[in-house]
Amino acid sequence: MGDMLIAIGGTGQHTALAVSRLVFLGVLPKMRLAVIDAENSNDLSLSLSSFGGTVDGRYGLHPLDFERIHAPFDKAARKDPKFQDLFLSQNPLPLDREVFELSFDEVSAGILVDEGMFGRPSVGATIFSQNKYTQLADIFEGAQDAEQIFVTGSMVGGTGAGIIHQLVSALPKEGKRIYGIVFLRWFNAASGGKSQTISDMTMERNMRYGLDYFFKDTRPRLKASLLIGMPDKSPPEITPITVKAGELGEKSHYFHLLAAYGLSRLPKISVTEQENGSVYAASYEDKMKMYDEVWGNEENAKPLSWYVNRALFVQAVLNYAGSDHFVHEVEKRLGTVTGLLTSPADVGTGLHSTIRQYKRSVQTERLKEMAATWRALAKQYEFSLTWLDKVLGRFPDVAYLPSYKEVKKGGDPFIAEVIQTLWREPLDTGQEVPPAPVVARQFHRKLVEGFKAEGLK
Amino acid sequence: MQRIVLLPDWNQDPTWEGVIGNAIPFDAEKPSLADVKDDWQPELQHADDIDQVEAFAFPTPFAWAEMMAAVIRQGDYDHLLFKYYEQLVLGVLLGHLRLDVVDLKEGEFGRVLAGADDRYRYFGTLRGRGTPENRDLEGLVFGGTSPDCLFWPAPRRTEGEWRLLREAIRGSNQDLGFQLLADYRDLIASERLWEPGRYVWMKGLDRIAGDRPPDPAHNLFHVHSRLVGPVALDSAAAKPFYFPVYEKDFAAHFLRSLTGSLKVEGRGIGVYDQHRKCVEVALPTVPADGDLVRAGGGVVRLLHEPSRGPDSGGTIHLRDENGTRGLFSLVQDLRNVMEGDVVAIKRRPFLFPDVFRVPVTRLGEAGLGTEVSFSPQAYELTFDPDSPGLPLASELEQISDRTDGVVLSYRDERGHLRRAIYIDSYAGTPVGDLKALGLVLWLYFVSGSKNSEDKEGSKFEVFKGKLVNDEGTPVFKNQDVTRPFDFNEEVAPDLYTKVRASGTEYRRLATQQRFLKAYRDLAASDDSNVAQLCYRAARSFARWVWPEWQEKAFIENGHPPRHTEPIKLGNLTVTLLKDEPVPVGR
Repeated sequence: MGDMLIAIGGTGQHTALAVSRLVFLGVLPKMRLAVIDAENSNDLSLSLSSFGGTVDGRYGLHPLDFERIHAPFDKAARKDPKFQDLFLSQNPLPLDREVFELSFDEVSAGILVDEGMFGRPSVGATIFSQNKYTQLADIFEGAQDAEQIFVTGSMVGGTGAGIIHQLVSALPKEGKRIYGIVFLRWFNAASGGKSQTISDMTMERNMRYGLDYFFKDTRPRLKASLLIGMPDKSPPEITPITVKAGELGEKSHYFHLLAAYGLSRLPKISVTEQENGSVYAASYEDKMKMYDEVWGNEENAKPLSWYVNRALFVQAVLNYAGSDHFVHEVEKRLGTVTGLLTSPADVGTGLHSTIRQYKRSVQTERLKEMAATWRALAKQYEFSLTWLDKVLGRFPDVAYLPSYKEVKKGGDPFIAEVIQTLWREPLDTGQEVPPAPVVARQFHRKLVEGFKAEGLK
Repeated sequence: MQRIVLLPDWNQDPTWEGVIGNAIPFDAEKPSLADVKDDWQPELQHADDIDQVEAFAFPTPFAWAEMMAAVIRQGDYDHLLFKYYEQLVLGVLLGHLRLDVVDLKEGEFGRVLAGADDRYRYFGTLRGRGTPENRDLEGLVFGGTSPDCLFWPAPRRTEGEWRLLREAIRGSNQDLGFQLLADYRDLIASERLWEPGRYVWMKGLDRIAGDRPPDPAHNLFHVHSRLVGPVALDSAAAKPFYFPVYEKDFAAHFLRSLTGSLKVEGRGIGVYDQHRKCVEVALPTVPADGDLVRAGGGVVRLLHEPSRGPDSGGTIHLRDENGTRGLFSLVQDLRNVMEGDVVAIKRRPFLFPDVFRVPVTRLGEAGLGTEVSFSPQAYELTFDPDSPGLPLASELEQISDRTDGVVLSYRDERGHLRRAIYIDSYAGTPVGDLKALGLVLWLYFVSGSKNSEDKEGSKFEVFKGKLVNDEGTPVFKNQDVTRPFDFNEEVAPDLYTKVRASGTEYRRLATQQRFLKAYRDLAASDDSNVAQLCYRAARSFARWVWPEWQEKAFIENGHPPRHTEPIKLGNLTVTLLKDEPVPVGR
């Protein structure tokens, strides 16, 4: 039984992206991801689905166990439906019509839900309730296998604000620990946009109504929850971003890292404190202090800066290993190109002997596939590390550990030495050597596991 | 740099070390919304029109119920929704709104709602009742029911339609509605269930009822109201509540209707007087996962005042008799799923439908089963709107000037344990069972007397094992019935008429001292319940004859009876005592 993250709405997707990066960096354990949002084809959704354009299904894989973004209702079933069309057929039962009209005003009933929930959480909540065991059944099946479930989204819009509470109440509880990571007001809506469906006033209102409901109904169902929101007097380095209508890409923010940190910390603190239903919050003094915060489980508890150093180290090696130069060097040792046959130790004896297990005719092709995989992995490091720089500020030089300093200083010759050392042992592949991308990822793991803060020298 | 907490409207410094800390601890044993900062409460905007109310911001399909609850919780009693809330409450109390319970699972959208919160599955709609004066109200749905706030207003009703309801309410005696609500509140409070600080609906009703004191006897509730619902409401009761609707003489009418015939039909029981159907008892069909109680089983609707037919005989058809179905067997399924005994019903009548509430509050234990019985004269009380109904056996443990009675436990011919209750008076209302029996015992006791000053008229004798009057009419009913000591219908009216008048004409001090001593000695030597009952009846008779009786002043004294005569009542043996020997030749 692993963990599961259920991300709802745009804010949920932002958190999912942050978690994906941190899982990729090894800061958080791998987990299953489920996403619910009416928007599944905008830049943000694509970035999440493709992990910043690095997922191609062959060389680049998603760091989380993730299939797709679930629309909260079946968009194919009806074109441009109004909210009420989802519930009332052409000849509805009098009971249904009566109860629907008792539950919703005319404006809500007429919302074109394909375009979103228009900041009306009751609409999102009702659509979720209708589809939770049909359109969204996969999510509940996945939740059955999870021990810890993290639910994240915001309380200020329509989708997350509407769904979070209903989702928490519908999740299986037996033997589970469910955590909420909920955003209060954290961004500003640009005023005057043409199709702006949500304003700062809407967000403030929804937050208050959502909190009222949260404290009354949702909180007792949670093992613990973390609320995150913009303080009234925010420090200059943590200011709300402004979201304009039509701007549907990722908006990097410190809060998303904080939410991801909640996944790491909440279980530990709440289990220790034994106060089910408690609401946690984050304090802030200096962004850079987050690099000093300890992540990981007990056996692997390290400050974030350690993980960044490891990532920088591995990324540098992968950049080199994925280069044409390295491919050429390996080819030379395989004897697949003319020239002097030099020692395979220069490219890692283990790597060399593993490639040699392929038929000779495909060795070059497999090698190139491995290089493509390492390049994809390097890109994923780039995608993760540049985001960290954005939300925390550039990683400070003083935080570099000796291992990365060595790589930085020594350049390619030093990296070649690293490879000689860490890729010395061949893979235990059994009788049949796996596909090249799998082998490449196994060598990647050797790099990750072989990382030592103090360096090789 | 100063450490701050990353939350809106939060002005305290962090109280924890590290980045993440416990900001709002939770005590599951004492959950409290006081945890929520004022700055985080919904800002309820002033609204002139229901369209301006932003209920949709609540993240639930029951957003309007949440909005209503928030208004009450915040005590915003000037809010438009609270005005409507008052109308809904009064509209139901005064009968202008009908509360119909529906099973949401019967509809497609309904299933969505029930799936979101199962407490709403059996859902009440508040529908206008058209009258000749308020014809346009008919059928308009003004609200729904909620476990939090009890009622919420329909968002699509126009101000004009609310005005219609308002006018209908103004045209009624609103005092009755407020008084009924005050009685309802007091009954709940007397069971320590009224917690307006904790439950929103109680807070809302508290506001409407104001400081109006309850009627000590809760007469409007017990006698002049019917209950609708139920509504699953948040409370410590863990059972759904029924809500009262003022209806004059409802309890008496319902009980009188039960002297008619009962038929199972459609989704309920029809009760007919000699002309037409006058009462409907709901017994809805429920699916396998359904709940007969929450679906409204046992709710009673009076269609017409039952006529007083000449052949009704005043017998309430509680049990099956002579091939006629009685109420008990017809509601047996409901009784089986409804937890609670007579004591619970009497104490918490607001948690039981009228099919149980009215019989139990008016008939005591006899209202819930055949194990307990009262005299027909006692049953007659229940038709009197001003009477308190009949007591529980436990209420007779403490005798007072206002309440006096005896419980006779016995086994009937089939060996079933039964209790017959004999009441002289209950809560100040006279019945006279014990006095009448005492009079019968007295008339037999003195039947051998040759006193020329005897003013008592008839004398009773035992003839062929039966006690008969001087016309040879058996005093007690045919004893194949299960209840002993019920008087023959030809004798009973005269006996009860006599004991409701003055008893001073029976004064014969010395004889009555012997009379009491004789039955006391019998009770002392025979610990059967029957002997105890006879002694109580003898005392009751003597008290009636000597109203100035002081407990220690009246001396039970004199020679023992000269004659004893056992008679059989069912499988009970009753020993009758006579002061003087039977005259020769008789």
